Amino acid sequence: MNILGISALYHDSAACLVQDGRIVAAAQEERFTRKKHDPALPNNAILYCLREGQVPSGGIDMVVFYDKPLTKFTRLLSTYSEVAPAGMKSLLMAIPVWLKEKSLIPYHIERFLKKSGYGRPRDFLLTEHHHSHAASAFYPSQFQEAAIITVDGVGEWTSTAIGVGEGHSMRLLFEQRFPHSLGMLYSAFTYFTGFRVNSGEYKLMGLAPYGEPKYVDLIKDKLLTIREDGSFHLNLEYFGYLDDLKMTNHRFTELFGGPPRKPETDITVREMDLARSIQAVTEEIMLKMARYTRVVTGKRHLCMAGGVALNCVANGKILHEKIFDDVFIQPAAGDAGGALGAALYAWHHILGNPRTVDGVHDSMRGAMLGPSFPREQIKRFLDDNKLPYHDLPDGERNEYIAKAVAEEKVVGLFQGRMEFGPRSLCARSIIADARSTKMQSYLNIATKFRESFRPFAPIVLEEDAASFFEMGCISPYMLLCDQVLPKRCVPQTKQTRGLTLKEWVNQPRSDVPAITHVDNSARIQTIDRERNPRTHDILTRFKRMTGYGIMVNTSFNVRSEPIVCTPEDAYRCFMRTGIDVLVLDDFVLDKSAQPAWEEKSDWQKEFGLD
Amino acid sequence: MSDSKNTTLKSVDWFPRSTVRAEEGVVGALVKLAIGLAVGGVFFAFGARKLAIVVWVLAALIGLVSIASKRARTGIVKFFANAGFFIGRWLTVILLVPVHLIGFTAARLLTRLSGGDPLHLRDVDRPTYWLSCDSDARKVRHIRAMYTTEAATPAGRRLLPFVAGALGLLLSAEIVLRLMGFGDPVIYRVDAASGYYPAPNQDVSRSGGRTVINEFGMRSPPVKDPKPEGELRVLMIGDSTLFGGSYIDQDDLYSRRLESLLQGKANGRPIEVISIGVNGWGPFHKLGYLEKYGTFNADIAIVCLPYGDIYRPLSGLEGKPYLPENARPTFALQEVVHHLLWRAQTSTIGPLSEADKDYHARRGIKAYLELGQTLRDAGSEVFFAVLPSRAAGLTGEQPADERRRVAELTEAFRVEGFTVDYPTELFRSSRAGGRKAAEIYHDEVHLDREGHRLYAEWLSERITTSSQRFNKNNRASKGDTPSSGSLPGSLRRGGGL
Repeated sequence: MNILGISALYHDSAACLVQDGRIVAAAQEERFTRKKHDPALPNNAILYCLREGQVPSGGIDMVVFYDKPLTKFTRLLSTYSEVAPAGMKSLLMAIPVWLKEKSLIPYHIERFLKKSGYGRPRDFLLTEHHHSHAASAFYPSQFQEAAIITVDGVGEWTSTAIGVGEGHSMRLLFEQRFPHSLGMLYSAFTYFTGFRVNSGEYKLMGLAPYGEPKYVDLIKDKLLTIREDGSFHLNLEYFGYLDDLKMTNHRFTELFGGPPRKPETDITVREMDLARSIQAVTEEIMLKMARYTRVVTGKRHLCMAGGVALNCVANGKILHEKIFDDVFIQPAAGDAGGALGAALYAWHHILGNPRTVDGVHDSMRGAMLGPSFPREQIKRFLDDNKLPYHDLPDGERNEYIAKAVAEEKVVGLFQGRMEFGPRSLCARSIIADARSTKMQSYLNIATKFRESFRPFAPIVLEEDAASFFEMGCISPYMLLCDQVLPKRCVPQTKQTRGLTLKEWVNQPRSDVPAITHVDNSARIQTIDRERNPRTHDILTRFKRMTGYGIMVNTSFNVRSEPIVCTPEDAYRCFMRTGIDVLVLDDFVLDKSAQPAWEEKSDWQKEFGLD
Repeated sequence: MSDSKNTTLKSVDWFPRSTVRAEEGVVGALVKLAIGLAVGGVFFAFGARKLAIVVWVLAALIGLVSIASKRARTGIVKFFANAGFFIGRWLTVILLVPVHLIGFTAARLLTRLSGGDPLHLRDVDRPTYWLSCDSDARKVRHIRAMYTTEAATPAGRRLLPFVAGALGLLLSAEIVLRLMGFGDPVIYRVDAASGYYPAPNQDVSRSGGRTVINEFGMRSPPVKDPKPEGELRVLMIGDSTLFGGSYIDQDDLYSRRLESLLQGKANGRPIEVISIGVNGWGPFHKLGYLEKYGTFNADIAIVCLPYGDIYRPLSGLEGKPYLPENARPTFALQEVVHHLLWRAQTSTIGPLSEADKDYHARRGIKAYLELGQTLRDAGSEVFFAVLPSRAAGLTGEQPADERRRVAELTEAFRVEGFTVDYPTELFRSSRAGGRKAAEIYHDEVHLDREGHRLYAEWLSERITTSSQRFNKNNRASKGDTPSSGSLPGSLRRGGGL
C-alpha cells in the first residue's frame, strides 16, 4: 500500500512516501526549488517520492495531508473576533490565500497528481497538526510504548500537546491552545533580537550562551505565568501576533528598553542577554512539562516533535535530568516532518497495522530519505563540464578526505541519499578539523558567509562520544547538546564580557575549539557504522592520523541557501565558497585543480537573507 | 536550479522531466472561450444584450488568438493572472473591510458581553493551563474532513456554526437576488393629489427590462419643453397595464412603440408620446395627477384602463407593495421581504362584495367622465381604450363582471360623447397565427412583450383612422396645434391645470 504524506502551505513543505508501513522516501520542497523554507505545494518532492517508490499510475492508495485547514481557518476567525477592529492587515492578507489555496488543498493536490499521470488517489485523509507531529515522533521510534510531547508555534488550535503511544495506536491527552504557545514566545524573541521568524530560532539558541539570564524574572513576571505542570499562560498584551503582522508590540519594546534590533545590525549585549533569558525560560518549561508527562503517562520513554523539539539545548537538559530512560526526537521535528507523521498515522492508527520495534533501532534509516544520484550521472556531469576529479575506491577516498581534514582543509561531503530534516548528517555536509583554533571563524566568515557568533557541531565516533562529552549519549540526528568534558576544556582566564563576538569566538576553549561553544557545549552527532558506514570510516582514519575521532560538521550550503540537493548544487557551492575539496560520492575534486570560476554578480543575493 | 550568470555549468537532467504541463494548452484556451461564451449567455439571459455581445466578441477574439499563437496564449494567461490578482486584491479590501469592522467587532462585543473567552486570554487564575484533548466534543474525529470538532465551548459558540450558516445563506440569497435585479426597485413619491407616482428621474434594470422614469414620474423620455413647433403630442394616462412592469423593457412598451408607429405615418411631422401609467392607479389618481401637472398641452389624450380600474378609490402607498422614496432598500432581501409581507397582508383581505363593487363602479365611472371632460377642456382629443382581460382579448369570451362594467362604462361615455374602445378578440388572430397566450398576456390583465407590440399596432391604427387631430395635423401646415409653445409655468410648479 502506497501512502503519500504531505505538509504544505505554511513553511517547510515536504512529502513522504510510506509503502506498507516502511518509510521509503521523504524530502523537503526547498531542496528542489532552492527557496529556503519553501511553503508551496511540494510538487517536486511528491514526484521524487513517487519515483523513488516506483509507484505506478493509479497506484497511490492514500494521500494524507498533515493538518485540518478549515479548523485552522476557524481559529483565524476566532482570533479576529477577539481583536477586531484591530487585525485588519492580517485579515486582508490571510483571507485571499485561504480562499484561493488553503481551503482547496485536496483539490490542488489531486489535480497535480492527475496531471502528473499518477491518477487520483483512492482516499484522501487529513490528520490534525499535532497528531501528525506526535505520529512522526512515536511511530518511527524504537519504543513499543512511549510518552509523547509535541511543541511548536501552532497547528489548528493546539500549540503544545502531551500524548501517549502504545503499539500501533496513539492519542493526545492534554493540550495547550493558541495563542498560548511556547513556539510563538520563542519566535517573538527571535523577531525582537533581529532574526527571522520560523528561520532564525536556531540562531537565537546559538546566541544564548553569550548572554546572562538577567531578563528571566522580568519575562516570568510580565510575559507569562508558568505552572509546575509545565503549562503556561502568555500575557498577550505584550505580543503583536493576534492583531498585527509583527510578533511583539510597543509594550514589549518598552519592557526591554528599546525597539527590536534591526536585522543585520550589530548584536549588542541586550540581544545576548535576551537570548540567554528566553532560552532559560524555555528550558524551565520543557523540563517541567517533561516531568509532568512522565507522571501522567507513566511511560519510561519519551518521543518528541514540533519545531521547539529542535531546541537541542533544552532536549539535552531533559536527557541530562534523566526524567525518562530514553528519548527519541524526530529528526525532521518541524512542519516538514508532519508529512511523515501524517502518512504513518494513517498506516498505523487509522488502518490498524502493527509496528515492529526492537527497542534499539528507529525506523528513520538515519534520516537518509532523500534523492541520491547514480555514479554514471555524476560522472557525466563532471565530464561534460571538463571538471578535473579523482575517481577513487572507497578506502582511498576516505583516506584522502581524512588527510585533507587533518591538513586543515575544508571538505564538502556529498554522498548517498540526501537527509530529510533541517540537519546535515554527513550526506550533504561540510566537514573540517575540530582541533583547529581558526576553523570556527574561518567557516563562518569565509565558507558559510554567516554571523561570526554561530557555533559548529561535531560529528564524533559513537564509541568515542564519552571521551569527549559528559553524557556521551547516542545522538545520531544532532538533536542533543552535551558539555565537553572539563578535562578537555581550557580554563577561561580572560574577562569575556565586553569582548566583540569575533574576539570571544576565537578564544580557544578546549582541545577541540572549533566545536566547543562559549559555554563549552556542543550539539553532537554520533556516527555509527550501521547508519553512516562511509563517514564512520573517514572518522576512524582521521582518528588514526590525529588521535581524534571527531570533526566539525556543518550543513552544505551558504547562509540562507537550502542545503544542496544535486551534485550541480554542490559544485556551485564548492566553487563559490572557501571549501577546498569536494567529494561527490566516489569522485574527489580539488579546488586548486578546477577551472576558474567567475561571478561578477552578487550571487549571495540569490538567496536573500534568512 | 539556479544558474550562474557568468560561469555556466552544463546541466544534466538530475531528475526525470515532469509530465506536468507548465503552460496552458489549446484545451485551456478552449475552456476560457467556453467560459466567456457562458458569461455572455448569462448577460444575455438577464437582458444585458449589448454587454453580452461585447463579452462574446472578446471571448471569441481571445479564444482564437490563444488557439493560434502559443506566445499570445502565454501573454493572455499572464494578463488574466495579473488582472485577477489586482481585482481580487481590491475586491478583498472592499468586501472584507466592512465584514471586519462590523461583523468581527460586533462578535467581539457579544463575546465580551456574554463573558466568553474563546482564546483563554483572561482566565489566568486557572490552576493548570492544560486542556483535555479528548473532551466529549472531540472524541469522534473525522479523518476525511478538513474540519475537526473542537473542545467543548460556551453555549454561545455552539450557535456559531448556525449563525455562520445563516449568514452564509443570507449572503448567497442576497447575491442571487441581486443578480436577478432585486435591490434596486422603482420607488415612489407619495402625493396628496394623485396618491403616489414613480419618483422622478430613475433608471433601473431588472429581469431584462430597463425602466427609465422622467422628471414627471412618467416611464417616458423627458418631456420636450417647450413643446416644439408643429409637434403632435400624445398623452397616455393609465395604470400598470400602461406602466408595463419591470419584465418589459422600456423600448418594448406599447406607448414607446406607438410613438414609432405614429411617426411612420405622420409624413415627417414630429410625434411625441408621453405616458403616465402607474401601478395600482384608478380614475381618481389620474385626475389628481392632471390636477397637479396639467395635460402637458397634449393634442391627443388616450386614457388606458382595464375595466377593473373603476373599482379603485384614491389611495396612497399603504397596502401597496411599492416602496416610498424615503425607504429605498439597502439590500435585495429587504425588497423581497417587503413584498412577501405585503402578500401575506393582502391574502387576508377578501374580494369586494357586489354592493361595494356597484358603489365603486358608479364613482369610478363618474371620475373617468370628469377625467375625459378635463382633458377635453384642455383642448385634447380624448380616447378611452379599455384593455380586454386575457379571456376577452384572446377568445372574445368576456367574464360576466367585465361584460357588465364595460357596458356601463360605454353607455355613460356615449351619453357624454366620448369614444370607448374595447377590442375584444384583438389577439385571437395572433394566437391562431401560432403565438402562445403567455407571449401575449403576462397574467390575467397585463400584456407581455408580444402583447405590447400588437396593442401598439392596434392603437396606432385606431389613431390614424379615427383621430381628427392626427389626420388634420397631417394635412395642415405646422403650427396649428391648439396650444403649442412652452409648458405652462404651473406645470413646473406642480400647481394644476
